[in-house]
Amino acid sequence: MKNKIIIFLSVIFLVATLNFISAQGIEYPQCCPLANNGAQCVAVPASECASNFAPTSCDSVPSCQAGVCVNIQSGECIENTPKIVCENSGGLFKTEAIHNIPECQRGCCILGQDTIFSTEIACKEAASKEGLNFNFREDITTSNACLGLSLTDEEGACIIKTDFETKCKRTTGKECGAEDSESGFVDLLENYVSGTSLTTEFFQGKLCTADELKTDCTKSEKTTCYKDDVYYLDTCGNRANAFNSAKYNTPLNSDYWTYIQNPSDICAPVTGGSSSAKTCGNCDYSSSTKCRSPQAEDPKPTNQQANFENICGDLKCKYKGKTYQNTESWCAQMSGTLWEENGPGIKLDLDGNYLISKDKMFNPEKYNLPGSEYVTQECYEGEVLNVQCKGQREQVCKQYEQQGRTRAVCEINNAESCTTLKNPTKDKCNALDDCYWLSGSSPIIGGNKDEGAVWSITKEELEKE
Amino acid sequence: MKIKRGKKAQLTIFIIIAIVVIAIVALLFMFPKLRTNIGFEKLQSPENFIQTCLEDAIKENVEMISKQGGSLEPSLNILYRDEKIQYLCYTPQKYQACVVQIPFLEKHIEEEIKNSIEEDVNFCFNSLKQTYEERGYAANLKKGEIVVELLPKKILTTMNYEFTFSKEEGTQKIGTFRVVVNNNLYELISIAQSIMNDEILIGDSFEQFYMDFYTWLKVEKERPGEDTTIYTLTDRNTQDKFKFAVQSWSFR
Repeated sequence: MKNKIIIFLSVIFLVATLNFISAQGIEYPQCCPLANNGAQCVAVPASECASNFAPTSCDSVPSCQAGVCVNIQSGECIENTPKIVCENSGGLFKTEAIHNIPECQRGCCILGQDTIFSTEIACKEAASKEGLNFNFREDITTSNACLGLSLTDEEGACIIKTDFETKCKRTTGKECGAEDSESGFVDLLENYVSGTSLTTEFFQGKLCTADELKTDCTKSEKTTCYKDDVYYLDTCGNRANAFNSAKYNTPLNSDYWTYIQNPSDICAPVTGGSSSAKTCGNCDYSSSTKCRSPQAEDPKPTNQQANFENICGDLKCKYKGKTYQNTESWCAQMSGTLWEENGPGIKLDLDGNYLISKDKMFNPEKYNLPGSEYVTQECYEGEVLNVQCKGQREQVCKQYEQQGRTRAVCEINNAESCTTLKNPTKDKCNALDDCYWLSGSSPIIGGNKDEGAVWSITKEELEKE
Repeated sequence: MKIKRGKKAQLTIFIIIAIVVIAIVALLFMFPKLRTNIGFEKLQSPENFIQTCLEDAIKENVEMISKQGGSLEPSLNILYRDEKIQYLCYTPQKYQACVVQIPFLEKHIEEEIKNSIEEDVNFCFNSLKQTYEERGYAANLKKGEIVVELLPKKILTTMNYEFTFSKEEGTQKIGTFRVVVNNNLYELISIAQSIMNDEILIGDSFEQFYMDFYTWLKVEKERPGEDTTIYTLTDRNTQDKFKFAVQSWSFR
């Protein structure tokens, strides 16, 4: 009986001690409207608070309650903003969820040839700033559908006629026929007298160089960059078709100089470093090419081509003896992180499963050493960018192959899931993605028994003690 | 002999002329106002004068504000490589989404630019008045409101200052002055705002997505401390930059 009482009291003492440790880890709720470092409505101890410290969470402090901050003038809706911060910035504070606030409902804002997925007020604001008319479509509720709208208005040759002259501009039918488009065309006309008649006629899908349109725009060897591709310019400065040196000499009544064609119908996409860049302007960003002025790494023209001022430039990156495609990313070689034969980083399949066994990956003497940090590297337009994962390995670099390309991301290392496991066992622990059951004899634990890592103690173990 | 004396006299005259020319040039360099007073320099129109006078000041202040997270004196900041960078969203707690510190970035930056150039605006308008007076005009200046607007690809500063100047030929009055500076801050801060939303939702952002979508954009992410992320957004074409800090942590 005496023993039982001692065990019972010990259990109570132990539970109380564990609770105390746990409570210290979690921290008591606290809210500070203005911290010493200038932060507003954050949970810091009273000693770091400049005014009105409250021993409760910020959600219970009226001025620090977080909600949606609405700018009635600009239509911006910003979530997770404390009431006091919102009101001091001239915003209207709302506690409803953002999708329940009428002012924050987004739709498709059509501005000239562009679309923006925004609120109606933001749409009006953007239109007034850009000096354009707008059309707000509230029936379009996703950004992708909105983006698709910008591509539907087809281009063609817009013929502008006055009593004295005829000009041509490559534009959309909407712009060509718009009542207010007149002001935009006046700049093209050399002899326009304000108030005299000006008419426009639109030829969808045609180029200004088309022989049948009888304009004074003809082909030229000049090129320009447009949406990543290289295009010929006509003598009036309009975009013709994507650059194809073999088609330059075709007559003006040929399809190439008559109809607007998709770059992919003109020549095969140019891949990074390919010699076809000398003859074709159909650049492919995903194959590491983009229109730019020629640089050292780009192919040189074989004979001195006139006006060779733009080319599908090579955007690949060369790094530590390997060549990476544009937009490819990979885990960097950082000492003390995971570094296997196939290169650094944690390798995953497309379902997110580890490709390396946990026993290799969690070797505590070699990998994930104190102070080590993961870094991802990305190839962007010929330049290698470093992105550091969060410190103390709160994030780790995970790498996978997708459609022949290497991709790496800093992913959260969910260490919490290991420490919050109830009645941990080796199997339960190892079943969790980011956890590994270390042997008690492991130097990292400093123990000498072949037991699992101890996060709690059971009654039976206590009795054994 | 006579010929020789004539040559000597000629040489002396040339030397005297050279000394006078050098003296005049030196005077013009030492006292620039003399150049306008004696008509060596054409008097600029008031609009051009203000554009020339303010453009560099606006550019410098915009650059400073842009590399400090949108604030001239960042209230909540991290000191990184000798630069104070404003936190736009911040939490000191682990596993918590950050709390927005500057909700309407565009409006905030417009206000910051306005405050930063006020002294320069006054200086330029006083110089304008003085310059016109020195050229014989009767000039009058009435100060008004300054409005800074971030617009697509440019920053427009409108000064509703009334400047009247008159001479024998008549009086002219200008009521509004506009200075345009080419800068892509408008585009960069709208992306910063999206990144801030990502940080609130997931405690991180997908910089690759932004760079894939906006091919003119470079997003650089640095982590100087445990949980702080410093973002540098760069327009690859213009090299305009916007730098800001975020501290967030979320599993949502």
